[in-house]
Amino acid sequence: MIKFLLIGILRDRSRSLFPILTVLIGTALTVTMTGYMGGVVPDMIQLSSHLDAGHVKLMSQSFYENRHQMPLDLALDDADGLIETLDAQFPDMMWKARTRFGGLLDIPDENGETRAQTTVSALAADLISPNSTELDYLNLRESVVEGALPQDPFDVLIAQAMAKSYAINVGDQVTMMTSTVNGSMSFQNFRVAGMVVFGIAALDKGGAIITDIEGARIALDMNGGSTEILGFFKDDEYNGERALVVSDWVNNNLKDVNDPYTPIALRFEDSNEFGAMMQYMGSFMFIISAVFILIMFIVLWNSGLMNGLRRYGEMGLRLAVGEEKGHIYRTLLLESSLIGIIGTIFGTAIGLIGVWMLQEYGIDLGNMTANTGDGIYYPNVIRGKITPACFYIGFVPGLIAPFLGSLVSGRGIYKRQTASLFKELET
Amino acid sequence: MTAAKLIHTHDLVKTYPVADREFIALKNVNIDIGKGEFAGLVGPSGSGKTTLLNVIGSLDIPTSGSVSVLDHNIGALSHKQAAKLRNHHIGFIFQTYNLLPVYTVFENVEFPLLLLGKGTEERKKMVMDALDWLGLTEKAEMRPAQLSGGESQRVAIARAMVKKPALILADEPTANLDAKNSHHILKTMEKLNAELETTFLFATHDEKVMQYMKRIISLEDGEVVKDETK
Ligand SMILES: Nc1ncnc2c1ncn2[C@@H]1O[C@H](COP(=O)(O)OP(=O)(O)OP(=O)(O)O)[C@@H](O)[C@H]1O
Ligand SMILES: [Mg+2]
Repeated sequence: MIKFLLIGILRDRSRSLFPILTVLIGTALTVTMTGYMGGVVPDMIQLSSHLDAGHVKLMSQSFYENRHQMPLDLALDDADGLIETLDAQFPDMMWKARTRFGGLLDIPDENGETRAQTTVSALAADLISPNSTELDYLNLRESVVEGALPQDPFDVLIAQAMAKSYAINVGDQVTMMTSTVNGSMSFQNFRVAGMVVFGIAALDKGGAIITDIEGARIALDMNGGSTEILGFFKDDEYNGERALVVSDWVNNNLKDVNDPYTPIALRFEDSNEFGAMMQYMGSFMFIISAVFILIMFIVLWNSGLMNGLRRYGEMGLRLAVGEEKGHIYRTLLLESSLIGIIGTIFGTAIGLIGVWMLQEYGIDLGNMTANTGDGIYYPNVIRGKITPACFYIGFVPGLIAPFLGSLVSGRGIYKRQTASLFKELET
Repeated sequence: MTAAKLIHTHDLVKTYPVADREFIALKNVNIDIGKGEFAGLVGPSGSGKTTLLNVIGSLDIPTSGSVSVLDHNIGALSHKQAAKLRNHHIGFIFQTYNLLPVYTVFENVEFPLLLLGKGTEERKKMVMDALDWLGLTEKAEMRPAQLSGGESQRVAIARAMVKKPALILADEPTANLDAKNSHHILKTMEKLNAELETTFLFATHDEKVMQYMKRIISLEDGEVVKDETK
């Protein structure tokens, strides 16, 4: 019987082409979306963890509570000591001290007089010790568009957009005016080693400056300290459960509730809006999929009704030959399942091609990706990824929608009186 | 009444609800048709021929009275039982839309056997026998659109007879055919009737067809007005 139905589907294009196309489009979109998410979400996790949150992030309790003001005086004062402890405890992780601070950048003219001033936000990380992964994690090697990477603790990189608007050149001296951990004023001269374009709109737009952590420690008078310590799994694969083990250990063993400088640890998904965002994306995907299924269902239901009208003759004849109504109904369901399978196979293939193109070429969204301000960064170039889910996810809408469609449209035939169904073939 | 009675109707009435009243399509029809008969229902358009064939073929049920076909009480059959009766014992031939257009001649004739759950080899043999019987062996792989009207009707006969049913019901089987083809079709049916003892019941208002009938039952306004055996 399946062979019989397949022959019907393949030969009667008007019966099958439209439903197959519907399923094909629906599943191709589903697969492409899944591949898009499968590429974007890990990219987003990687980028955001590298730039900001780490897989696990340590701050002092009180810094965390006041983090929006970036209170330098509440930084971890013995970051290097903590890192030693953590290295011993978690051999599969590496730890990096980083400090974020703000200040006023003074740009002098050739006489050393102030030519321009602007507020900047600075990030200090280990840029010059050999084998430091920070150059890669902050993607600085590729981002330097003019000049070179820092060689000296007092070398800085500045965002090219800012450099252009203040006519700063590579090799220029700039002065950073800020306050130290103790609250006293600090003036530190830096040399502009290079200019960077991150390719991340959020970073390129703001006035960003990147300094070496040791240079910053001198400028801010915080020897061995930092505002945060980022922990990364050495394989660079974020895993919420593994991260929880680490953050729990820190919070249970290093935390001292009576000490405001006590370190606390947050997992990636807890230190920004990521958890909520994943939930949001999850429900978004769910709604989109449900809408797809619904649209496909309605389209297929209608085409099932139309086909039913067109095929009254066939139904009547089959009844006359001695086929049961229930059997006809079941063959209609089977037929639409076959149509669903065929459509899904082709739709999945097309979707995979779409994902592959997203993976190879990406889509440059450029300035459209705004920083949401919640510590989540999106790459400017969106890339998909062919994940295992891409191969099977299409079957969910691709089988459910046509099945439901003919379940409903077939009811009409099923409920009809044999005689009246049959009569219609005579007119 | 003997066991040889294939069809037996007793005070058969069939009404259809039309607007706010009942339209009487069949009025107290009492007929008996024995095994091996070659009989025709004749009468003007609207006289109830198709209605009677459909009730006898268990596609419809009587409003009152009784119809028994091969000792099955049509009015009391469930959908399943009715389908089974048609599947095993009754072949239908219609005026139009007799064949499934997407399937080949072979597949069209094979279809009832598929429903009967016959194996591939047995199906093939039975279909080829039936096609051979009707001189259609050459056309086995053709699709209905490629056939002439006469050939199509022959395929329909092949499909009706392939399972060797006791009864074949034919509703205006020659209405779309010219005289030569009509003659050919009726000759084939006569041969089937003679060699396999298949009972035939026709509905027709075609004079040419009536000549072949061994018995003519005339209907008018749903009533049997004449019943002659030649
Ligand atoms: N489902 C129905 N509802 C209402 N009336 C019906 C229905 N089916 C048939 N009739 C009526 O019953 C009468 C008999 O119809 P039937 O089809 O049996 O006629 P017929 O003798 O086969 O005519 P023809 O020679 O034109 O095929 C007609 O008047 C028809 O209008
Ligand atoms: Mg009729």
